[in-house]
Order: sequence, then structure tokens, then C-alpha cells
Amino acid sequence: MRRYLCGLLLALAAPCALANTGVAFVHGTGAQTNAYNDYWQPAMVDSVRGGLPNPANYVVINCDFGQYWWDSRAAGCLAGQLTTFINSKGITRLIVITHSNGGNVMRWILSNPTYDSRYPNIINKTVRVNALAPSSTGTPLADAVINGTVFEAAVGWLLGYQNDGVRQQQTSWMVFYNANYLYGTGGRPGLPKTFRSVVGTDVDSSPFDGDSYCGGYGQNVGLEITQSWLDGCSDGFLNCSSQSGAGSVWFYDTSRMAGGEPLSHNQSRRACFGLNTILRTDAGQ
Amino acid sequence: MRLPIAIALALCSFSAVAAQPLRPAGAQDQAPSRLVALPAPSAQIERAPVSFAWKLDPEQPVFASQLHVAQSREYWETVDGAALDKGVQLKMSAPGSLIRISPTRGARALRSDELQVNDSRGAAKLENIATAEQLTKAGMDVQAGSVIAKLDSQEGADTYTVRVPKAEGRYLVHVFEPESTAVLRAGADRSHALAGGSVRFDVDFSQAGKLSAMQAEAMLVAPDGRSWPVALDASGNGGLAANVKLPADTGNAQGLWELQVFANAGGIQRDARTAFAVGAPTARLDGIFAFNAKTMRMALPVQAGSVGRYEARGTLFATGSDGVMRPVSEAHSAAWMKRGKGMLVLQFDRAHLPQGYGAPFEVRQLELNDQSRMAPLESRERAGVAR
Repeated sequence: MRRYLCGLLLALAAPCALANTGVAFVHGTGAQTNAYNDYWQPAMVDSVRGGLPNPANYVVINCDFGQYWWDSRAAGCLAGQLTTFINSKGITRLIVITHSNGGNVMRWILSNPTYDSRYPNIINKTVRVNALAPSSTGTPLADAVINGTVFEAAVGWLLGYQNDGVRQQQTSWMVFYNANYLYGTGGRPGLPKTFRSVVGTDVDSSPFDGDSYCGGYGQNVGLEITQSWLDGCSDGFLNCSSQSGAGSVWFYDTSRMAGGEPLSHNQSRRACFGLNTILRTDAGQ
Repeated sequence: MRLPIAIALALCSFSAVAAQPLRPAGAQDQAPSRLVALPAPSAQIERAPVSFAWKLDPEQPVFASQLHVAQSREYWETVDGAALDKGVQLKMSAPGSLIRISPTRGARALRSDELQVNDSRGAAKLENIATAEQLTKAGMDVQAGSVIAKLDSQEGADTYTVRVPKAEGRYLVHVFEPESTAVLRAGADRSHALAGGSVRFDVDFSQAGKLSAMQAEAMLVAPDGRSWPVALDASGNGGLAANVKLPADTGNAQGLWELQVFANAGGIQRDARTAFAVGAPTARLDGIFAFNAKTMRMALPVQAGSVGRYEARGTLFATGSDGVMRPVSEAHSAAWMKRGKGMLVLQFDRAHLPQGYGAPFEVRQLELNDQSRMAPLESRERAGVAR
């Protein structure tokens, strides 16, 4: 009977009262030790988790995504923290919110369930991944940063730049991984769970527009330079084609953000223009 | 074909289904012709056997991936501080180009107000100039001490002189011309290969859509930094090509291999890279499989030349009521293996079959991967039909 009631509630598009829903926040490239304060900031995390039946059912991941996705410090670390969260809180429905390269690390787990015996349980508990501005097909900015750093016997890599997380997001490397290890892109098998992206389409960097400053990133010269590598539709770091390159598109920023504002790459992890409210509502579903 | 008794029994246990040969490898497939015995992987690798399967949407087609062709409007070169102090000449082909200068190890960090850019008439007009800190805030994680300038849209094709007084050490100069029609393209004929095998590369240089003659050098670069010069010859279609024999020793570093091409057409420089995987042939499929349509199991005997963790994966196609095969299920299976014979079983799920779908079945996109060394070992676009 309880199972039937649960099914009925699910059919009515409400979270099953018997389910225990949790939210995980997965950061992007780089090593984090306090992503709650440094990467997402409390305004975002606390707002989103407030939509959960039990707002204490959340975890903010702190791993080193400067490594290859499969590395024990990257997906291994993520799997460990998700497993601990699932077990300690008794999570039965996991909603994963990723930003940028965090989407690729999560997609690694979804696409390679046999790589680690912890992956299947994580996949089975996951109901969906809300991928905020995922770098699913890489970015030309990674190519620009990594290329030219030739190897020399005396000094190693010339610029000493050894961030494998950035290296993997070079466009030609992502072509390889999307064709060989990762799923969800065109022509490849689908992922075992929903992977839907929020796509940032533009950068509002006018010094006369207060909206430019949301998230702590106002007009800056750097964004105007990086746009040179990107298409007309981009969030300042990723082309829209990369953000929408895997899974399905949940929504484009201007269609749902307050005032039709775009989300720059930095704003898509912050409580800007109602993004947190949309995620908060989703956490309750 | 001699199989250990246990594997033969496992194959026989799939009732009424005899082992059958895998389809011969096609042109884009990969199949090791030999095996190597490598030391056990030193990294901490999962030891437990794991299997997993999930349902696919038959309306979402699954097909072989297109090969990637890299396109470049950029190049990089290293210069020493003395040359930069004196002035380095850069030939540009289009307006709005960008120039980045990054210090290598030990070189003096640069300030944006130190960069001087002149065109053939005098001081060039810059649209923007940014520091490493400003670029990092925008997500472009360049080396500390770098500066980048964007030429004004009025600053078109010309030879520019870039100078940084009192530069010390070696610097990487990066030129990007987003508006240029001069494009270097480079592509490989496969996305992965085996050590000791070969890969063909094709390279061409076009300006305003027309192929241009070029001088080009190329280098094969391994993930551990080893490199080998590659000779490029006329391809017969206006470009250059190379058939590169890969080294037998893949090394231990993870990551992809690259062919790096450095080209010059009428003074316009371009660099391009194309990435691919090279794996040591540590294991291979044994050339046969057994598929039981009742249990939806596909048994795949494996020959392991090296101890390691091996994974098989495949996409099950089933036949719809309209007679068309479509993807319905994806299954993976991985296990730690010693040298010798082993077996992986792809356990598809009958519950994944949409209504109206059934035999004949076919497993496509069949792959064998070395998870412990992150190497694609064997692939079959089509493994074989089972009824």
C-alpha cells in the first residue's frame, strides 16, 4: 500500500513522501577546500537547499578537478563524498548540481559505471544532474592556454602548466573523450540519468548596468579579451554549443532569468537573477 | 581455437546459443594483432568486478563518431628576452588580432604598461590590453606575469613590431587572428591506435577558402613529453600528409598523444594540434562471442597479455515491428584479470526492450578498454547479429 501511495504521489509530480531527497553541489575546474564559501557562496547554496523537504540534506563537494576526471582526486574524490553523503543521510533521490567542468566529472561517473564499484550506487540514487554551464565539448580558451607550452628535457613543460583538468577541456581532447569514454553527445548512447544544462548565452559587462555586478564580477577587460576566442553565443568562457553539447538543454538563461538577463560563466554558479530560485523549486520536485 | 574449460563451460551454459565469431574488424575498427606483457599498474585501481546496464531511447540514434579536424588561426613561438627587448616582428593577416606574451620559468613577469606594439607606420592602436589577473578572472587561466593585447579593428594586415624593454628570460609569444581567413587544418584518420601501429594525418592551409602552398613541420608528442619529428609529404590534393608509425613504448603518462603542426604560408604562421589515444595492446577479445536471447547475456572471452582491469562495453540493437534495428540497451562489464584467458559478460536487461522490439539482436559499438591504463584496446562498430 505504501508503495502504491508513493507511486500515486510521484504521478502527481510531487516528491514522494517516503523518498529522501538530497542535493549535491559539484564545483568546476580547480581544487576546492571550501567551495561553500569560495565557489558557490552561501546565498546560492542556502537558497537552493531551502527547497528540499529536509534542508539539511545537502553536500558541497570539495575535490581537485585540476586532475584527469578519472583520477582518485577528481571523480574518485567526488564518488567518495557522494557515497558518504548518501549513506550518512540515507539519501534515496540525489539531485546533482554541477558547474562548468564539474559536469564533465559527473558525466564521467555516469558514462563509466564499472570504473569504480561506488559508481553504480551513485548512479542508481541520482534522479537528475542540473548542469550549470557545463563544458561538454571543451573551450577554445583551454586550447589557447595549453598550446604552445612545449616540453623541453631540461625544464619539463615550458610554462610549467600542468593542470590536467584544463588540458582535458581543450576542444580536440573533448572530441576524443566524447567519442570514446563519455556519453550523451550526438550519436553516442544516452546517459543512464537525465543530464540537463542551463546555458549562459551572453556577458553583460556594461559599467552602467548594475546587473553586471551580480555575483561579484563586474565589467572587466578580461572578458572582452576572452570573447575573441568564442562564438557570438557564449557565457564569456564557454560557447553555447559546448554548454548544450551533452544531454538536453533545460533552459537558456534569458528565457528564465529575471529581466531576461544573461548569465556569464561566473554568474551561473551564484544567486543571480533568480537562478537560485529555479534550482530551489527544482530541489522540491 | 582452444579455450580453458571454465570459459568453455560458461559459453556452453548459454543455452542453445553456440559461440560465434565476431565480425571481422572494419577499416575504422581496432583489433590488436599481438599482446604485450606490462608490469601491473601502480595506481590504485578498482579490483571488484562491476557490471551495469541501462535503457536507451530507441529514437536517439547511435552511430560511429565523426573524425575531428582541428582548425587554427593561431601560432606560438618562443623568444628570448634580448629579442623582445629589441623588438620581435609579427606578420598579421587580419584586423583585430591578439598578441599574448607569457614568461616561461624564471623569466621576468610583465606589466601591461610595458608592452609596445608598432605597425609599419608607428605606434599601433590597441583596443584592449589585459593582465594575467584580469584574464584569470574571466576564466582564462594564463601564466602569471602574462600580458595580452588586442589590436584595434582598424589595425589590419601588416608587419607589427612587439617590444618589451628589459625583458629577461624566455617568453612564449602567442598570436591569434580570429578574423583571419588563413586557416591551418589538421586531422587524423582515427581517434585511437595501438602502440607500434600507424596513423595517417592530413594537413592543409587555406586562405580565403583556397588552398595555399605552405612550408610545414610536424612533431609527434607523447603525454610524457617525448617527441619525434614527422615528415610531411604532398598528399596529392593540395595539402600535406604523413603516415606515422607509432612507437612500441607508450610510456606511463596518462593523457592523449598529439600531432603538432607548425606551418607558414607566405609569412603567415599557424600551429595546429590533433589529439588521439595510443594504447599498449595489453588484452584483446578472443574473436568469438555467445549471445543468449533469453537471458540477454553476451559472453566475451578475453585474452589478457598483462595483468590489469579490463572493461567491455556494447550497445544492444533490437529489431522493431517495422523491421528496423534501433539501440535499446547499453551494458558494461569490468574485471581485474591476470595474464591469460578471462571472460567478460555484458548483461543486458530484457526490461529495456520497448514494446514491439525483439530478435534479431545485434551488439554494436563493442569496445574493450584497459581501465587500469586508460587505453582503448579493441573496437568493433558491429560485433555480430544474434537471433
